Amino acid sequence: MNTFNYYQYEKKHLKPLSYRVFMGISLLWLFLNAAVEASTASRASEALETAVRSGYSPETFSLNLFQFDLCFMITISTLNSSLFYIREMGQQVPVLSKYLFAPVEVRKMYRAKAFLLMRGACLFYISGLTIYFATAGVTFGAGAPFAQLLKQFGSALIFCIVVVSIALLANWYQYRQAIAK
Amino acid sequence: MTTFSCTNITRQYRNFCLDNVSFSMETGYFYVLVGVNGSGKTTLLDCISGVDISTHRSMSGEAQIDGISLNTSPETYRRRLGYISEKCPFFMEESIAQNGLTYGQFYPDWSVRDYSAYLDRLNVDPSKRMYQLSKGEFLKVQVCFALAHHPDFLFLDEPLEGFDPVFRREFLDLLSDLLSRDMGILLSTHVTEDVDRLADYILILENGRLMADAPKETLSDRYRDLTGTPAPHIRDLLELEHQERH
Repeated sequence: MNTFNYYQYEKKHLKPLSYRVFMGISLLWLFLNAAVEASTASRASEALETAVRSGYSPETFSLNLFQFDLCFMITISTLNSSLFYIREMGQQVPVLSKYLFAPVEVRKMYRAKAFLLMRGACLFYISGLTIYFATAGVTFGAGAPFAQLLKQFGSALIFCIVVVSIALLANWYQYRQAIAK
Repeated sequence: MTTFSCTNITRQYRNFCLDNVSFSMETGYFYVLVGVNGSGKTTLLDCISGVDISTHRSMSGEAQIDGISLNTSPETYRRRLGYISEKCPFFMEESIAQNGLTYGQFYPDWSVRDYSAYLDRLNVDPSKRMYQLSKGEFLKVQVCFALAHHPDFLFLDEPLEGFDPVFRREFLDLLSDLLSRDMGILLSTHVTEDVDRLADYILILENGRLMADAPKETLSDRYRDLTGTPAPHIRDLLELEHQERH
């Protein structure tokens, strides 16, 4: 009991159904988008190749950053909500405030929750990245615009880090506000 | 026998300061913390129960149970005590039983069988949701939960306020039962009549400072020396201390 495992406790009590549903829908959406865009870019390149008899360049295949970021925000906000908040008497309450009287270290509990949130964010990011890179690789082979995709996913990564950081800071602030009442 | 001690507990607010409070307790005795409203009873209990630490407020001082420090081993320290306060934040939409199971995981000695038995003894329906409970039932649930994890010390913050005399008597009988099981009890109150019979030691808090910490008999003797009559109630001891300071 002295080495109470907060991570295991949080993992056991997490109810990630809505997160999983949003994650599934988002990744499917990203996959369909990637497939349609890859197919369009491939056809356009083939048409161009036939017309000018030059090597095609599938540079029009790119990540739609707005859609990716939007899907990420929706998915991560559901995970954040199920980790850090509960609905009680019609109000959203920071769940950490419920452990005020229990023999727990709230900081450790927060850290375990933050780790689970980051894990969920990484999972989404890596899945999105895999979808786009796999689609590009399968459609364009060696001529796939990996460098361009990598640059775009770099931008997406910065966005994801900012979103997760803001969420974590907001969660801590909400908890402090709740216990100050 | 287990001992509790706290030294130099200080907690600074804008308009109030809990000032270097130190005292010690032993299991098997009933300690009554008395003081007028605003004297710092709840603040002191929040500090020594570890609630203040978990809110990261600026408490200083040290509290120990059998050498286990609140500052260095807060989890282990807090498992050794039960704190009963109306501020206790249960999961309001969950049942009494579910709340017990949720919080019980943090206590190595928590027993679902004992929890159920105490709920039964105090006539509380475990399937009720927390928001459906009256003030008295809420207190009973806390007591049942605390007893089910077998703490060495039980801290109670003004538990008797607003309850009918029948419930008060039942509740005091339960506390008396716990004393015989070698549990140490610290009960804060400003309505002292109910605990006259049980009190072994009296701690008098006045404007954030501990003005008296002694066996009830010692304070009664002092009262008799000063007034020439024996102190019939703890209230009289409190009034005497209060008058001496003003």
